[in-house]
Amino acid sequence: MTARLESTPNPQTTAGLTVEEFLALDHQFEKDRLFLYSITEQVREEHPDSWISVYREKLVAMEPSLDALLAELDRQDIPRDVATSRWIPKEPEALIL
Amino acid sequence: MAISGFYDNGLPPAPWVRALVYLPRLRLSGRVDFLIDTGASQTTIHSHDVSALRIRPDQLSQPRVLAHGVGGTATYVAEEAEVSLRDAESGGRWVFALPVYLKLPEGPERGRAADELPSLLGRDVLNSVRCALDASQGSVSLAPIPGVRGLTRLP
Repeated sequence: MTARLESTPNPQTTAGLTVEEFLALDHQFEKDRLFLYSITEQVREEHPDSWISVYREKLVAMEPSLDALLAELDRQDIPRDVATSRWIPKEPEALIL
Repeated sequence: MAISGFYDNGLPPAPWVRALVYLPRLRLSGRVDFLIDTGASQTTIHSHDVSALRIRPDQLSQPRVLAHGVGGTATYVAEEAEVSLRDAESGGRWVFALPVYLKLPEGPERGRAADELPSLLGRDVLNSVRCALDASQGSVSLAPIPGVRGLTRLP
């Protein structure tokens, strides 16, 4: 029997995935993360101050605001939390929390 | 048995861990990448991930709570959650049951800088693990301490 996460399926998120499905996605997340890193400097140079999303090792969205980025992911039916998204500033910014 | 994270490509690189967050009251779940932050008392999901999980402000009627940080004071909402972290060795997962702080993507604190803030894995989780960070090797390892309250291991 396949273990299932406790959540009620929700097509808008990864809810409803089996653990196996999530673990399989984790492998893809890792590929997407590395792909995002590989294009970071190019995006910074050519399209600074942009939010970008990577999905299945492709750059699928690039927008000036988070709201616009999420809207574009929705338009493409890409789950927001499955895409790997990041803000790429013109210059690397210090983060002190 | 250990949870593996990763270092990002920042300058200098920062340690992260990927999680599946389930909010039972809202019946929502999804992936959240957390920055490991021993300076955070609470595990916190910031507005970028709140929006990605499609959490709406009208779903959160709890009293707002204030949190103090280097950048000032901000308001959050505490919501019960299960934070699942993958065990890299067994393929199973560790589930931390705890309230997480949600930062709503609204109000006067909203802005580009707020949207950019990473979600934080705080000491409410980190105090339940042995944490080994080795940036030179790109290695992030969280080994749960058996018997800790609120922590469950699932196959």
